[in-house]
Amino acid sequence: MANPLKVYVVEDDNMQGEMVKDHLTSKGYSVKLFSTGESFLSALESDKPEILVLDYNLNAVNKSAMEGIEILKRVKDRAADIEVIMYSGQDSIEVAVDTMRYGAFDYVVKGAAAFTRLEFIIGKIQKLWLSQENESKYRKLNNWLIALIAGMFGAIIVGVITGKIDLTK
Amino acid sequence: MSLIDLDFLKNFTKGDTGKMKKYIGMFLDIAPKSIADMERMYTEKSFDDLKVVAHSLKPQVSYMGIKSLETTIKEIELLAGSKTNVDSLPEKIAFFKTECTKACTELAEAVAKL
Repeated sequence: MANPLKVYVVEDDNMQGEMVKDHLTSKGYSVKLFSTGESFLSALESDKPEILVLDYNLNAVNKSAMEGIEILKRVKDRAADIEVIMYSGQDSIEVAVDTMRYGAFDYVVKGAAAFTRLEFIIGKIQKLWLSQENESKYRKLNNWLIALIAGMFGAIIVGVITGKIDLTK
Repeated sequence: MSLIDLDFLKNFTKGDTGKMKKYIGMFLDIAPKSIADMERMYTEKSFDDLKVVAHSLKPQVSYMGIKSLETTIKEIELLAGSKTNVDSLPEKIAFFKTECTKACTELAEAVAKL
């Protein structure tokens, strides 16, 4: 069986964090919870997730903690291939657009519907990866076929020039 | 009439009483502290901090099914954030405190029955 997808969560609110962690774990993902962005960035050196669920307001508990948007910028600088889903209590289109401008894949507003929405977006990311993988395989196959046909034509031309193939017969 | 509705938590945990107890326990722990913080922050006129506390409480109130407080906590967050009509905040915080305290008693009773 393939290793479960690593989905890490950065959330300073214990209850929110536990709920997201429990929900995603129950869906088969390998989940780790970090209470600060700084602790996630330290762990990133040796343990990189495929997807990160990142709280937007990360200084509710610790005022000196780095905000979610700052963590997003640093994650994208260090590991651009990690897909980041921003998670916030702010139902604001401006905040959502701002986070996507810095590379977030999507934005989820906290609340009862947030858990299934997170699950849906993670599924969407996986489908996108699969379609990119299929497209890459298709391109490789296409290139291989073109090379094969070109090779055959080349061989025929060489055959004709050297007299080994006589097309008039 | 009951102030709480545990349908969301029951669905979310698929009836896992251990998880329900865990989440309710976390709320019972954090709610009184958050209310005390909001009262203090209003006295100190720290409206930005008050907004952050209300903001954190908002989804938690919803998970515990305390529907009567969903609007109040949103109003507290908005008023503190915009720093407008702040004179109405003490009344709203007091209402939140009274109702949330009753809801917490109900939640504690619900946990005991799980």
